[in-house]
Amino acid sequence: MVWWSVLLWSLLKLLIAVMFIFITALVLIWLLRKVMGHMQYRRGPRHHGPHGIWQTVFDALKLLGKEDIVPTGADRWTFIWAPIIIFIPSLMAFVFLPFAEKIVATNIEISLFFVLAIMGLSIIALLMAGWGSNNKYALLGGLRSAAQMISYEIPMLISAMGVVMMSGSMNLSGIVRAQQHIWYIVPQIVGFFIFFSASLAEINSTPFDIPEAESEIVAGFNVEYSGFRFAAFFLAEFVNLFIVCALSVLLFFGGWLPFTNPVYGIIFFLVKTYVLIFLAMWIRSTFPRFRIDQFMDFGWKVLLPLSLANLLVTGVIVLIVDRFRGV
Amino acid sequence: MFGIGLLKGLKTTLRAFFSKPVTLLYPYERVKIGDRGQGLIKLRVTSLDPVVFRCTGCGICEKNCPQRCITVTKKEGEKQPEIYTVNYGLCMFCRICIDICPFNALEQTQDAEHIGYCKQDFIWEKEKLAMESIYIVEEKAGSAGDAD
Repeated sequence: MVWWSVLLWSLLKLLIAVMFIFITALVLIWLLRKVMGHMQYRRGPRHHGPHGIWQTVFDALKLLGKEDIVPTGADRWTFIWAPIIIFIPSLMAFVFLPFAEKIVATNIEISLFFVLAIMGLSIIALLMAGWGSNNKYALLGGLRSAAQMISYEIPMLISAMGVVMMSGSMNLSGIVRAQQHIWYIVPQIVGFFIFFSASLAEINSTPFDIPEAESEIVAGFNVEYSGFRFAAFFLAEFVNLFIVCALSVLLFFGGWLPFTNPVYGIIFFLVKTYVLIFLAMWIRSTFPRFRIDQFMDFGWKVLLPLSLANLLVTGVIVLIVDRFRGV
Repeated sequence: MFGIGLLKGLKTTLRAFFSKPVTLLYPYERVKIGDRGQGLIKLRVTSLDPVVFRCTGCGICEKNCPQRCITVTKKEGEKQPEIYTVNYGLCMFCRICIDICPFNALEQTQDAEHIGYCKQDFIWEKEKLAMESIYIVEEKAGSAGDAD
């Protein structure tokens, strides 16, 4: 292939990914408002299209039209770049997520490792936003999110390791293919709970949303942001929700299985992902926020030992099974 | 056992999710306010043409209003109010004016909505205060006439 066709093809892929991200984020925000509304005996958005589906589109347009304020005394470059940087990990994670058999932008052998590694990058953007805003609440929020991500990334990674040991692959497509006989939710149920709760903490979803706890630190790292920069943070949060749910589906619910046909595969994969997203929103509208010390305790004293024990048991069982098979 | 409370919480929200919302679609659907609901004040009218108020302009309501939101003046020798205004920006709907009126000239409605663009819109003149009660009196007069 000549260089320009490669470039054009990459740009097209990027465009599709960006479009998908924006549409997903808008749909998820609408879904959250609907689900939360009905769980609180309300109705959620109702005007603007059937069941208020255009509400979030107009909200996003409104935010784009608002004044872009950079506060006095803010660290200008960090402040301006943080909302842009927060989008990069979300965009990059989509490159490695397989939507169906062979429907993946870039298929590398260690895609699980790569997705989890770049998901951890968003911490930099949150720290930048916290530092750059020149606001005590923003700084506290940024530091809290850093503490949260560091403490919850470890159980998340270790619980994903259990799946990797069972499937013997770090490729997300390979992990899905290894689940042909049994979805890993059955043998790795503890791993799934650890992974899911740690990923809810990763994306600042409500029982774990201490970085933006309204009642304590106003809005955390995005307290000084307005207009489209605020929209960027907001959209990134929901894109990350989609990514962690998609990742959980790939690791524990057999991805696009039992269909190998790409069309059915994508549909089934999205259905499973949206079921998990509903679960996340359900949890979000049910439980109150942790206090910060309870939250750190939960991460280091409950999830981490549990995930290590899960890893140990999985390792022993995998070893025994392999011995019996004579591998 | 640990975790039962969490599951109970999830069950509660799921039940709420599948049950009917309790909210009304406000501009299209309205809550019916009970008969004892305290809404805007209406001035009663005894005849339409010429407009004759039941109010004699004695000013007892003005003196008894805890918010001082009623203003009544009358010309010497007349038994009709010249100016009767209610400032709904101040009114707290305590209905003391209605209870205190010796001529039973004020009426309570269940209409609680009063909307305006400026402060002036909340100061209602006597014509506006009487507007809807005209129809009420008319109906009552008609039915009373039939009975006679």
